[in-house]
Amino acid sequence: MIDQIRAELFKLRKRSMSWIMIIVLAAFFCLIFFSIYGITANPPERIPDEAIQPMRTLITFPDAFKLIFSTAQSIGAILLTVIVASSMGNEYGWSTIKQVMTRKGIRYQYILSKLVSFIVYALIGIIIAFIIGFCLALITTRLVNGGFNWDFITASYIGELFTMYGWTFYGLFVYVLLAILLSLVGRSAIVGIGGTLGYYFVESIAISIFNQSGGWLAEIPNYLIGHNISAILPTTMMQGPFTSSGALPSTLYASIVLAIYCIVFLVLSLYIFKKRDITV
Amino acid sequence: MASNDIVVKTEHLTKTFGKITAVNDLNLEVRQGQIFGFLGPNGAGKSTTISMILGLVTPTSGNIEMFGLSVKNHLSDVLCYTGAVMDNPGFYPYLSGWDNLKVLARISCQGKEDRIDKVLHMVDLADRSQDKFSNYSQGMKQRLAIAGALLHDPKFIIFDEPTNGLDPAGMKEIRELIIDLGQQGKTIFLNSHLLHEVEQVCDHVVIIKKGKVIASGTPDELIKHGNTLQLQVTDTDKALVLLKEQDWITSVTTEDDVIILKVSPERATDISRLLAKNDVFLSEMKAKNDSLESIFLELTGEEAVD
Repeated sequence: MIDQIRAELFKLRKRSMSWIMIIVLAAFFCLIFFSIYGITANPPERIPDEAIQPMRTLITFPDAFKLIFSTAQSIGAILLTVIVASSMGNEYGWSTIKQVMTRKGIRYQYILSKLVSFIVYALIGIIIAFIIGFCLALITTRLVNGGFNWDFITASYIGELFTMYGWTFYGLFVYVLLAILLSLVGRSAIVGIGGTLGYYFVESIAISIFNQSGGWLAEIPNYLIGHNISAILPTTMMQGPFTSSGALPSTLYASIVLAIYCIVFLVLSLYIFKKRDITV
Repeated sequence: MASNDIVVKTEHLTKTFGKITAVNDLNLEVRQGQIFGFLGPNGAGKSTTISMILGLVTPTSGNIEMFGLSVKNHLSDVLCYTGAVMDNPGFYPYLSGWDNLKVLARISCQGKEDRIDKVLHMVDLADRSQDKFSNYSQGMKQRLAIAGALLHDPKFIIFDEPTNGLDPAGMKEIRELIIDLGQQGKTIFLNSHLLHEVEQVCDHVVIIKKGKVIASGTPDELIKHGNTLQLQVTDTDKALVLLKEQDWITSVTTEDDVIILKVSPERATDISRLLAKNDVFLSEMKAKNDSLESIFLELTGEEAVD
């Protein structure tokens, strides 16, 4: 199993797409930080001053950390979906699935080794996002405040950062599993990418509509992935791009709902892959 | 031969895809050290059979044993001793040939990275091993697939159309490699459309059609079975009656005035004597030695393609 995970990590490392996604992530971070800074430095007349101040706070320490994790979660979910679905689905497209499965033939090991490699990639990706975001926040903090005040850094705050790191990863993990499942079902990268991103965007629109509605319709978002991911992020991160608005469930509730999704996606993936003939 | 000499044994192997029966009650035995030719027209169920042997496809019914172990229950164990060169071999296009083999070495149960150079030399691909797979020609891809199959030094190797895309020189090299592997004691399972190739390298051949075995034996046995004698005689009708009465003649047919007998050419004297005794005289008699290809075409009802 360890060797299989090493092989999967080797494939990810050697694939240029893996590195391109990191570059795209860095580009998005630059875009977000400098766009916000641009708006706060030269505020358009239509934006009131009271709206500008929270934006300034968002790109300066300590709130910049929340923007970093929020962006890593929302943009990371999209980029990670592309990597996961193409890595999984292209095994069918390139017929490498046959080559791989005639080696040891243990199907659950194959799925789990893929999953572990994606987890490692996601964890490293968040760290890279953190480093990029930290460097950008250094620049924007300096530009906005003219200097740094590190008094907020305490042991408990560092603990909070690790918690944010964990929740960010948890939010990404659900989409990793969904992308694996859809790529397996469709035996293709396109189905995995299209299905997962389609769900991601349609769900965010649906949540907005449901949140505007009353009665039982307003309850539906409590059972959807995106709304629960918003609930596990720190409250100030709610304003980040693609995060849900409206009344959020508790962190415990959201964690349980997401865990159920994870279990269902993983069990279905393992079951489908075990039962299906490999005929590509 | 003791039963433990059997490398692959299928019993009543059947696979259906919806209403289509791809493999129908197939019984095969591949013995240790054999170079086993597996023939059949397109859609005969060859690839499905290979996929079932390798655990890629689950049989609808029947059993497969390899090395005395049930494939269903011990797939991982039997694959340790098995290499496969699949038709249309798949590799990662963004990796070099060497890196592709590195991935396979890591996921093979006895695969060692230190064998990569050796197998690349065996298939004459060492010089291009650092090139990306996406830049390989079809022949190079096929060679890499063979290198991948040999990586863990398997006892049993399945070749599914191994010479696809190769030029005549490449085909000859692969043919020699297969013979060489056979001489090393490896058991080879060869599926190929190139019948003269099978005839040259295999010591046992099975022909299947619509998922069922329709002929089995050594290439010589199959060819002998298909041998014919062509006669022209003074009285064709009388000769036909006489010849059809003989139980040692497998079949008697006519084409214009030529009588075609399915019989061993060694019986030529007996035929000559029989006809002469009954006042029927030969004006011409010639033996026609069939090739495996003509036997295949006759048995499978396929038409020869130029």
